[in-house]
Formats: sequence, structure tokens, C-alpha cells
Amino acid sequence: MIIDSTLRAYASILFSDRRLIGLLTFLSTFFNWKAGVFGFFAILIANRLAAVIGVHEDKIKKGLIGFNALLLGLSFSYYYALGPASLFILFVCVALLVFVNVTFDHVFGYFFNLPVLSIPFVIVSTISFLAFYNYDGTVLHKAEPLLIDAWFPDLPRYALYYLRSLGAIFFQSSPWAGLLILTALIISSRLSFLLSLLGFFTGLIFHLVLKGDMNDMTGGFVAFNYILTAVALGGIFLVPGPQVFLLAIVGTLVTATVASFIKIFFVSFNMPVLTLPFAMVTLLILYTTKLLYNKKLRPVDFIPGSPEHNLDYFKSRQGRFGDIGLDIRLPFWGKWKVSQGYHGEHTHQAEWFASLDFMALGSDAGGVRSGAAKEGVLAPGEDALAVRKGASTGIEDYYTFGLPVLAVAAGRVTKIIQHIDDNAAGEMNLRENWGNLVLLEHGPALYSLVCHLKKNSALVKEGDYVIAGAKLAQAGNSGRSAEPHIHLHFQATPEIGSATIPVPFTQFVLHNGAEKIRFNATPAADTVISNLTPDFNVKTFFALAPGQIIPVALTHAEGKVIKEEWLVKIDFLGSRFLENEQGDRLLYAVSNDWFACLDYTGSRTSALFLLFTAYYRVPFAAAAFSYAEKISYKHLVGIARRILSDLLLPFTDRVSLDWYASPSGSAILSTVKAGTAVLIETHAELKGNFPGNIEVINSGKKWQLSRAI
Amino acid sequence: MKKPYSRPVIRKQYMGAANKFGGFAVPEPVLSIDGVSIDKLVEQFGSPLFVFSENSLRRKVRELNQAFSSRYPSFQAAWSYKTNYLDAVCNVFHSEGSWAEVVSGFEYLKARHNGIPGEKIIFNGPYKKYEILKQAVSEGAKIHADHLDEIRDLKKIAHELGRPVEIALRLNLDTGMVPQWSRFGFNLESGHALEAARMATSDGKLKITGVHSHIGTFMYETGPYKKAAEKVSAFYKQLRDELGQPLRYIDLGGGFASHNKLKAHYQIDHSWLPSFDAYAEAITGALYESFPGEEPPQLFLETGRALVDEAGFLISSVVGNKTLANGQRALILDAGVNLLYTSTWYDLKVSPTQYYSGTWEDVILYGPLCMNIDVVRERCRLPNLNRGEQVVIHPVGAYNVTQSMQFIEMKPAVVMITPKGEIKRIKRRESMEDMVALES
Repeated sequence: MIIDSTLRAYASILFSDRRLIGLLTFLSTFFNWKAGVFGFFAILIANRLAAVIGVHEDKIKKGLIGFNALLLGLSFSYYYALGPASLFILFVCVALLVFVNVTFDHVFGYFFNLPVLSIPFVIVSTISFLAFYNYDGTVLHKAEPLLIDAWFPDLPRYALYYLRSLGAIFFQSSPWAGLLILTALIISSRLSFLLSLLGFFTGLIFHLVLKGDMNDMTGGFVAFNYILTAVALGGIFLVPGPQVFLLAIVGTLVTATVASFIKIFFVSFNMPVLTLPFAMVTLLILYTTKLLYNKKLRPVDFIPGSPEHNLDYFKSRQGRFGDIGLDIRLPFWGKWKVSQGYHGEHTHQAEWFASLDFMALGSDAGGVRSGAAKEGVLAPGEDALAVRKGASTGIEDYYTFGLPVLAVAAGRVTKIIQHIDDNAAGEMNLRENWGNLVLLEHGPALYSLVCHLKKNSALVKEGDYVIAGAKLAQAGNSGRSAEPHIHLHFQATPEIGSATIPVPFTQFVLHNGAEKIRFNATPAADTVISNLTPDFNVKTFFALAPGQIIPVALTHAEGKVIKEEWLVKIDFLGSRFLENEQGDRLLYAVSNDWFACLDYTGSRTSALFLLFTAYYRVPFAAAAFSYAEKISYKHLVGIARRILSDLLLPFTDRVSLDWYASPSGSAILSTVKAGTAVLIETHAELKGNFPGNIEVINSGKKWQLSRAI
Repeated sequence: MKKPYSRPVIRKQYMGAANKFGGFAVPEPVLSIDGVSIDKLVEQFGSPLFVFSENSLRRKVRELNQAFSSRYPSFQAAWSYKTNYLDAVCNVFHSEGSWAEVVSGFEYLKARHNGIPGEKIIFNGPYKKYEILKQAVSEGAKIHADHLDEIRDLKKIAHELGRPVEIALRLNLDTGMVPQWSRFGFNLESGHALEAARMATSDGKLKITGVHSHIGTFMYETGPYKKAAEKVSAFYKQLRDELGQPLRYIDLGGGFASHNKLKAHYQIDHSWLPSFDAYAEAITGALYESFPGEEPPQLFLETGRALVDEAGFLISSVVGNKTLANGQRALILDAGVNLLYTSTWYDLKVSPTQYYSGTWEDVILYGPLCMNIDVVRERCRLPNLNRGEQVVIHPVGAYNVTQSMQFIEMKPAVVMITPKGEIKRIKRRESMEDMVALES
């Protein structure tokens, strides 16, 4: 616990949570051994104090308290000589830091949904230096160059500045320390390393072109802010991508400006700017991106890791399941047409761009109803669909009118309006333009609104809690509606008329062209869509009960048989996984509408691993629709290709792999493809007991997996 | 394009309801079916001839699916084989996504023959032969148990297969309809059904996954369905919550009315019959209300008659004209009760196949059998038809093909008109060879 939390505190400063990285950075702090001692001492005190006053164990373990303390300790070496007096001051200041840290962590997190970064360190470090300015009991620090620095190889000057800047993060002036930190950085993340170069050289060019104070670059005590800003914005707190890298450059330039400004004040107290420029600019830009819904500038709203991890997680999790954390379904049953999409030309504009209008479709009776064709030309299989069931134009003749409107997700009914008359077809009520409506609250800052409902048709009351798919009311033609339709949008605030926010559906069936299932998507205008109609046979097949033991047999091409036993498990956070005797784990999720494999850890030769690509996603659909998803390459390619792909992934999706599935009967045929090359082919028969009969062909070799008897 | 010349005819105008001598409207003649003329059909395939419209089949099943699937999360139609198990007809429904609902070993094999996997077959009926029942169980069919002896059979099968078997219980219940059907399944109100469920699940060999009820046939009111849905749902929850059974579906059978006219009914028009939307509103509304706070279970329906009846036509020819002793005129047709079992309870619509001038009078329609009971219509207003001219009898799509007998006459051919207007022979006329082959 002590070692773990201490090492993690060291690693946190390089935005990592790996112990190896922590160990390397720990060692690097001892090139200025006094700084190392101060830092180490500070972490120990901070973690102990935090534990004593009752800070949650997890926060301490993850190094969240420790890393600010570490920075504070390291900064002491900049002001004070090591001695009993300075250690005593450090103790007091660390105590202050713990309080500042806990308070600011809560304030930033609760009110702004932001990380606290090194703000507590900046505050307490400033205080600790200025507070003891005229105390006589302290001995000020004197710089002593390291002997081994003389043996450092002759490097181009800017490379040396870069290494010094890396060292300066940990209050080290030796290039050797910088080299060790660089090693740790490269091991932890290649993207972070490239971003650090990007940040440093952007700042350097800024200084060179504007003829700024080159001391900022040479000593590195300002320049490390550029590195940290570029890494934090370019990959840690935003999902890496070309636009995000540009933002990181802009952020670095802003940091340079802010740093120069701060320096003016700090220099009069003989203080460095610390990490204040980095923290201010990063938080500012991060908060801005959270306010916007720019798909190209996605803030990391999961637990951040290395940029590679963030991108992979984003593409394989958020890309597949969305970031709302709720199962969002269409607000109706049956086949409906999107009569107006996002940014629709009629009314889905300005703040209300993220809205969808739907109209129900039914049989066109061979085109007679729409007048499209004469009776007697209804092609088999080819659906002739129309929005009206009769030839007349009364609102009752629309399939939509009177059909149930459903809750897109579970929630609480916060507002109902149902007194407004339905318009005759072709007329609109512009005064009460939303018409009759039901507003649901699904969670903090997430509301859904369905409107233009039939007069007095509400089936729920304000304050009711409803489940996903509950009937709310009937579709109608009230408000600004010339033809019966449902309007749906999501909003962050409960007022009627609030700005809309885009929220994709967790899944729906797209009926245009070859019918297929789309996951985590928003339908385009004029498409024909429906919810999945669940098939309980498939659902039952995937009903895995925690504690259940699944014996399986894997037959190799050469006839060798491996037996494995899988245990169905669930951890205290609710993550569900299958685990074999070797401890390999397959993480999975089951929703109302599908089974999906999330991730795999462990050996790639286990029987369990075959399941990852066989059942990457299985919708519980009554009809056989094909579907495709991106699948992470991290388990499926060699190490060299993986590192190369990591570097290319921010720029192109072509390095990630595609997973295609086409169900036929009770079987699912799936392939993993890299471009056009087929890597893995799987034929899974969902028969009998889980996992059914699975046949995998990987690079020409065949395996067969089935339940052992 | 220049229209071909046709001889002008003088047609007498009947005023219908506005006629001061009483409302009488001359039925419009049926000149063609889906664009194919009656003459052409008779010329190619002879008379009598069953004709099915694929357009009509598809339109109906799409209307049914639309009505239910736009109101309910998981609806699945199962094609009732007994209503019409001609392969071509079944396959139209299967291609529109319908499962199969069978009531005998023969029908089960027919559904398998049509390529329907066991798990998409609902097996109803009071008699399921042991061997076929075992095959159906091992192929994953949905077995709806009808009586206790069958439950004993199923337990035996479970024992032989060495695994628990999933079944559904068939119920009969009081929905306010008279007469109440009580011969199929277990009675709900008397407690027999619960007793049967306890007995079935007592030793863990059987698991109940569904509840089924079929409340009657030609139900022209939606109220009883609502009542049945409520009662069946309550029983479903009782089995699930009290007996801990893994219940997953409710099957409310069939019985929706087709656009036919029951003899006892006065109304000629079918506009008073409920639409699929009305049935759907009643059933899905009741199910939603019965399952507050949860998603209602999978719903199956086994609608037969309402989907296929109007798609079927029987072309028949006049073979003789006669006047009875009381002066009543009668026509003898080449199709009688041997082909039109449903004429017992329906006043089937009989339409001429060309325009006639002159008077219309009431005639009795006799079939070709040398049997006193062979009466197609006791009273039917028709123009003066000559020998060799045709009438079209419709709707006859439901039950008539499956229930028609080879009695005195051989069975006729059946054709289907495709959406492109092509005529497809889906069953050939019986021949002498067919008849003697079975006796050899």
C-alpha cells in the first residue's frame, strides 16, 4: 500500500499509473538528492496525514494526494537547504496541502467536473516560500552543480534544453535526470513523448521568433509548462486526434504568454512560475471543450490513462456504447421514417439543431394509398411503405396518429402538457409550438422531450418514475405540426425550449438498402429505422449467472484437445467477466438488447480468447441483420505493429481493425479484417448451452470450441 | 396506345339504398383476379379452380405485423398451418417473417419440410404423437401442453433426454364469450391450470416458459381479447413469481375475423369488423397495463383466417340449370361442399364473372355431389347464367383447401398469382393415378 501509493504519486506527474514509471521517476529525483529526500518525505507525510484524517483509501492509493505533496517537497529544494528546520516547515506545509488538496479536489470536481491538477501545489508552494521570507530559522538553498553533469555527452543545445525542461518538472537541473525521465516517458507512452517534443519546440519557436527571455528555455523552469500543457491537452484530457494536436499547439502558445505574464509578478519574489501557467491554461481549455459538443475535440470523460489508452478506450468503448452510460432506444415500436434529422431545414436549427422528427410507416397496399402505383404490383420482400393508411388526408389516416410514444430510457416524468388541440392536417399551431409534451429526467443534466402528442393522451403523471420503453402518451398532431409526427430531443436543463444536446441511440435497425444494425449512432434524415425486437432465445443463451461454471473443450487443428473451465464472475463495481483457471479474463456487458465483449486480459492461446472475437457483439434480435464494429488491434496484432498503429491511430482509422457479423439462422458468421485482409473467421452456432459451437479459423488454422460434457 | 374495340353494352342501374322498392345492389362482377382474367385461368387450368393472390397474402400479414409491432416491443406472428398448409401459401408467410404454428405431427413435419427450424415452430393441439413430440422437443420447438397425459409424456421425454424440457401451458378461460371454449388446455378459473403447473414443475423436469390461450374463432369483438390478455398475464405472473418458473412469452392464439359473412349475421358489409389496429390496441394495451414497471413479455399470435381468407377465390362453372317443384330456380355448380367446407357457416359471396343485363333472381346453388346436403348457398341473387359460364366464390382462402375432401369428385388444382401477375400452379389437379396409387 505504501509502496504502491508512493510510486503512483511519482508516476502521476507523467500522467501514468504504472509502478515502473513511478520507480524511474523516483530514481530521477535523486540526481538532486536533496530534492529527492524532500519529495519522498512529503509523500510519506501527506499519505499518512490523509489516511489519519480519513481521506478515502482509493484516493491515496491512486497517488492523488501524493503527487501534489511530491511536487511541494521537490520545490522545497529550490528554496531551502535540507535540515531539521526545513523538514519541519515541510511537515506543516504538507498538512496545509492535504487540506487544500481535499477541498479543491472536491470543488473542482463537483462544480466544474475538472481535475485539480497541481493547483494545490502551486498555492501551498507559494505560501510556503513567502510565509517564511523573514524567518531567521531557515537556511536558504545554494545551487551546487553535479560532477557527473560534466560527463554528459555533447548534445545539440536545444536537445539539452529539452532534457533540462523534463528534469525541471521534478526540480532537477541535471541533464542525466532529464534523460531518465525521458526514458520513463517513452516507456509509458510514445504519444506523450511526441507531444512533449511538440510542446517544447512550439514554446522554443515562440521564444526564438519573439526574442523572448531565453533563460526560460535554457534552465527549463518555465519551459516544462509547455511540455506538460501539450501532453495534457494533446492526449491525456482530450482524446488524441489531429485537431486535438493543433489545440495542444495553440494551448502551448497560450501557456507561453500566460507564463511570461505570471513571471513578471513571481520574479519580484525570486520565485519560479511553478506549474501555474500549465494548470491555468489546461483547465481553461479543458472546461471550454466540455462546454462544446465538438466531435473532433472530445474531452476524456472516463478515467484517463496514457494517450494510447485513451484513444483505444474511446474508440472501442465510447465509440461502441456512447458516453451517456444509459441505454437509449427509439421512442416507438415498429418501422418509422426520420422525417427531419439533425440540422433539419425546417425547424431543427440554431440551439435546437439536435432534434429528430419521426413518422410511422405502414403498408402502402401496393402503392394504392400513396397513389404511387396501381393495385397488383406489390413486390415480395420489397416493402412499399407509406405514412398514411387511407387515401384521405385526415390526421387519423396517418399511421403515426394514436400510436404509443415511449420513454427512450428510464427516468422521472418532470413535465406534462396535454391540453392543446390536435391540428387538422396541414395546419400548424405556432403559438404553442411544442404542442403536448412529456419531459423526462434521465439523470443529472440529461432530459428528453417528446412532443406534438395527442390531446389528453398522457398515460403517466408528473413525478412518475418510468422504465425504458414505458408508454408515455399517444402520438398526435399538436403544436407546430402539420402532419402527425413525434419530435424528440435531449436537453441539459428542465425548461421547455432549452437548447438541445446531441445524444446518439445505443442501437437501432436501419432499413434502407441492406438492413443492418447501427450501434451508438444518430439516424440521418429520410432513413427508415426501428428498435431491435428482442428474441428471448438469444437472450436466454447469454444469461450468465455469477458463480456458474462453464466447462469447455477446445480442439486444435492437429486434434489436440484442451479443457478449460470458465467461472462467471462479477466484481464489486459491477464489472462482469469470465475467468479461466489461468486467470485470463474476458470482460463483457449485457444490456436489454445485446451481449458484448468489452476487453480481454491474459494469454492469447486460451480458449477464452476465442470468445472475444466470436461474440464481440450479439444483438438479441428476432430478425437476422448484419452489423459491423471497430475492434481494437491491441490483442490481435504483434507488438511492433501495435506500437506503430498506436502512433497512426490518432490520424487514421485504417490501422484499426473491423469486425463484421452476419447472422444466419441461429449462427453468427463473423470476421476480423485489417483493410481487406481477413485475420480471423468465426462461425458460432448459438445452440444448446453457452458458448454453443464455435469454429475459428485464424491464419489458415482451425479451432473448435464447444461445451465439454 | 389505341384501346381495343369492345362492343357497347347497356347496363341497368340499380339505385341501392335509394331504391324505393328496397335496397338491392347488384354485386360487381369479378372479371379478373390481380389482373389475370377468369377466362384465361379456366382455359389454362380448368374448372373448378382455387386461386390465391400473393399480393393479398403479403398485404394482410404486413398489416398485421405493422399493427402489432408498432404498439409492442416484441411481437411474433406464427402461421397457423391448419388454416392453409399449401407450401406456397406457408412460404409466403414465412418469407414475411412468420413462424409456424402446427397442431399435429403431420403439420410439424410439413413445417420442417418448409425449412422452418424447430425453435421457430409452435406446437399446439390435443394430440401430439410421442415420437414426433420427442423430435419437436429435441429440435427446440415451443410445446404447448394440452392435458395431463401429455405432461406425463413430456416428463418421460425429459428423462430420456437427460435435461429439463421447456414447455408452455395451454389455458381455457372465461372471457364472457358464449359458448365458452373449454376443451383445449387447462381451465384457469377452476384452478386446474395452476394445479397442472404445480404438477408439471414439481420434480424440475419441466420448466414453464410460456402461457397460451385461444379464446375462440371469428371473434368480431376486441373486448374478449383484452380480458384474455389480462387473465393470462395474471397467470403468467403467478407462475413466474410464485412458482419461480422462467416465463418468457404469452401466446394469445388466433381467431381474428376475416371479411366473410356468418350466416347468423344480418350485416352484409364487413366495415363493422374490427381492424388489426383495433385488435392490437386492445391486446397490447391490456398487456402493457398488466405489466407495470417492466417490459411486457414476448407476444405470439397465431392468426390464420384473417390473413388468408380474402386471398382465396374459387372459380366454379355452371353445369346445369333447373327449376324445382315449387318453382324455385336452382343452379348446379361443379364445386360443392366437397370443396367449400366453410359454406356450412358462411354465406360465401358468389359473383358473376361478366356483366349481365336483364333480371336477377334468387337461386339455390347446388354442388356436384349426389348428396342432399350439397348446398353452397340456400339463396343467392344471380343473373341468368348459362351452362359453362363461371362464378367466383370468395373469400375462401381459409380452411377450404385444407378441409376439402376427395369425395365423389377429385380435388381441383390450386394456382397463385404472383405480384408480377404470373400464374403459378402450386398444386396440380388430382388424377386417377393418384387415387389408385394409394391403394396399390
